Amino acid sequence: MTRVPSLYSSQSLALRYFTLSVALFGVMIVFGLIAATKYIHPGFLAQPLPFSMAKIMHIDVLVLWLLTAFMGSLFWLLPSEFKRDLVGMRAANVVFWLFCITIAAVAATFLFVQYGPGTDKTLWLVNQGRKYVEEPRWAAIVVAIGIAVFVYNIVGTAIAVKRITGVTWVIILNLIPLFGLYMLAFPAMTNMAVDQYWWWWLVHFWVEATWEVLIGSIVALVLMRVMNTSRNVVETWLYIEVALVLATGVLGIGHHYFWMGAPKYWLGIGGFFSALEPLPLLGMVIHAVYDAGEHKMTNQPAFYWTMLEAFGNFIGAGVWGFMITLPQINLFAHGTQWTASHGHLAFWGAYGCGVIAVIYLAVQEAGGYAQIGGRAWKWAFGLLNVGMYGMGGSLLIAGMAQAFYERAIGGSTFNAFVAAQQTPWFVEGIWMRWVFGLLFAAGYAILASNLIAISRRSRVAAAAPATLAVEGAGTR
Amino acid sequence: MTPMGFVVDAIGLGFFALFGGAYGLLYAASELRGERRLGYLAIASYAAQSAVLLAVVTLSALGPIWKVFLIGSGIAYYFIPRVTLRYLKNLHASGEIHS
Repeated sequence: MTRVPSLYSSQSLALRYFTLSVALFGVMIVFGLIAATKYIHPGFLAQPLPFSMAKIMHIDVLVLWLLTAFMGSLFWLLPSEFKRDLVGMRAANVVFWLFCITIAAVAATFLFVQYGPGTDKTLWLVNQGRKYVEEPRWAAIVVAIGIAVFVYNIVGTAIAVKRITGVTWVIILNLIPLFGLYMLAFPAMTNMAVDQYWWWWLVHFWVEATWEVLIGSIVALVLMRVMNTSRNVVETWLYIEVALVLATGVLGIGHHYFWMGAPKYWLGIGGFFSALEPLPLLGMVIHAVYDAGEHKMTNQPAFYWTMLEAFGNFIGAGVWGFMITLPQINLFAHGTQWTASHGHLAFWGAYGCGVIAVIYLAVQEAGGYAQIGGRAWKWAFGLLNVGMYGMGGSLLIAGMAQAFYERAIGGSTFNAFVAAQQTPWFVEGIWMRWVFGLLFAAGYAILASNLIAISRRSRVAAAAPATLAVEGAGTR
Repeated sequence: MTPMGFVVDAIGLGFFALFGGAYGLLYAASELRGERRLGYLAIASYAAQSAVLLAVVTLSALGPIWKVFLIGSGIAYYFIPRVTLRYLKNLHASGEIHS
């Protein structure tokens, strides 16, 4: 039976964030495909959109679709934790529209302006020039204000209710470095080594510390809803996971320090701690197997995407990361398509799968469905994963060829760079990445249409619940 | 380290982690389902991981410290699924009592 529940205002906002996130996911794929096509036909759209701009759009929108999904997830899940709506929702709604306008304005700048003369004006209005945080400074300030309001929404609510659960403690403590590290997007240092050092703090600690903790907390809340796992179990496991991830991830930052002039001891420290990272991920796999066997589910897609989050994290971050993290290997593999392969699989496993699970949970709860299932999500699940793991495998082959011919044999000269790009291993790997990219895009199209269809059915159900209850729309 | 040696080492390290994950997955599944066949597959996965470890330790040009680290990792891989599963069972048992 379909009964459409009333939503907290923060949950209504969450649905808007999820809509934005899914749209950005699509934009990321479009620019990924354009960049992949440029590897095969370098002249493709060369004049209006250079490769560097397509790449910027691809990776910056990657950060945005995940970040907006994280925000949507917390706006959706936290009212149940606090037993009330979040505070400051008027400001939060303003921030949402500010984000939309800013994203559109920055995208237009990247697509139509692209470059400036390298003055302060360029920094403020065109591009800050640091990978992943290229947005011009005015936009970075809007993002910082938006995150500050988001922190206020959560911390202010916790103060208002005077009751904080273990999961919300973890989320609140994690928001401090999440906001603080973003401040590292602002300094414009003239010393490249110092600039890279702090830039890695922002990128690495967001991805391998604060985001890991955030997705761990979100998945903990999802597990309680999808599988009725007890709070005591979820919170205890979350503390262990956070401790292990931070213990390995924080000093693991050293594995990025090979190319930027940091002291040599970082080679050993970074290699050692990042090589430990698969171990807590293995624990997560065991937990996923245990949960899959022990609990009943009411939301098939959310369940399978949550399970895949554990396995995908182990494969992408654990296995692919372990291949290249020891200093002797990293010296050759760092910055090749091999690391692109690791990046694709790790982001997908650690974050992409988790946020898709939450979006399915949200559309189920928003529509008031007792169960959610069907065939479309299975096609999306299959195509997205075949596409992603196919892309990861193809880039791995291309990256190995690059590391072997360009770095290990050719000594990283420009001639070796060009020669490596012409080897059959590299060329065929890049072609296969493009093919699997198309499969991934097809999976995305089905995913988006499935989510839209479920949301539409729930809207119709709100208008005429009695009719649809008889038809059982949206439920399986 | 030769160019080919570095590629082979990297592939070996990937399989080392992959077989470790397969062992953990199959061990947990065999314990939870009580299926002996899965248990054998888990043992086979750990044996494959150990074989890869042996090959990397004896044949690769990695430094001795990294080889010791890998041996320690290999031992940890053996115990993590067992300890984690036992802990989870206890945790769920006490969680169900408290909740």
